[in-house]
Amino acid sequence: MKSFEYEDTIVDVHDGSFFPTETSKLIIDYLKEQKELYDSSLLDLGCGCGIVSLALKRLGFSGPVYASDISESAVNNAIENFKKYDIEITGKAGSMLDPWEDKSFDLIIDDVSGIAESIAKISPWFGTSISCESGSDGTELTTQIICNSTKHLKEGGRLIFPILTLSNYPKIIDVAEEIFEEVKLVNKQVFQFPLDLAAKHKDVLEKAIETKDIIVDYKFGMYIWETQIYEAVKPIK
Amino acid sequence: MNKEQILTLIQEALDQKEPVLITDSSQNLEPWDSLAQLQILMKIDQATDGKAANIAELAIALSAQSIVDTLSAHGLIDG
Repeated sequence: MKSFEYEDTIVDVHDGSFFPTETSKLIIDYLKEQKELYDSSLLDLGCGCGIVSLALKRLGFSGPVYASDISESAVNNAIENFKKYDIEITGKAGSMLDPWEDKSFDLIIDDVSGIAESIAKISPWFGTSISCESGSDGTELTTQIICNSTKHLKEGGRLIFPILTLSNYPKIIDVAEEIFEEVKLVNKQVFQFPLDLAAKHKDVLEKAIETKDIIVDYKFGMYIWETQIYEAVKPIK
Repeated sequence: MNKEQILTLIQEALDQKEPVLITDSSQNLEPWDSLAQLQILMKIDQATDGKAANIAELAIALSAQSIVDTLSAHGLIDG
């Protein structure tokens, strides 16, 4: 079984769970500095093995944790990891916010990020047991979560969501800005598209760039993309 | 841009308190990994108004000296 660690939190990652990436780290890196949120109730959406919420709990978050994932196996994986550290969690399997029909939270952490389907198909990041149905331009999942999040946020609540520029990401930001009064970039990291994949699938990349399904730069002989973490507050009524 | 400014950019990209020396490289500075290399390149890109972005050799310039030499060879270092 594979494992992943963030500082001194180590989690097992089952085959049916998305292996955590830098996106999860960027989210934790930002939230661990937000001490005023430490007593928040939090929903770990697309929890996978549970690393984001578990790491935050172990770093001092004291509020109740709820977690869901479309994969039941991933939810069980998260529950087992929480058990290992004797920390309580309420886990449910289901698509996006569906499992939390009547529930609201101080903090919703969306760790579901979409990338353009043409890129998902050629990348090693999505195994056959993991869903990545985010549309041709990679915006559908995140956009739906943003749209549905407001009815699950308590007064003063916050939504944290990641965007990968391997999507038509300005569309996602536009939607977020229509729904929330404040949307701000709180963390980011640049990456290079793996050189071997870029060489093998140059045609796919160039087409996706041309159709604006992805918005990446070609610099220093590499395709450069970013993961960006956003915080949205104050839903527009 | 001069050599000292390059060293400062590298220091910022690596998030280092200690100044970066011309003899430093990914071999002796632990934070200088592949992600940090990208951060260095992005800062150089910004500082040169995009002029350095066409220099593919910079992607494999893993020392302060080789970065300075590469930029110098392309006329992007003053003096």
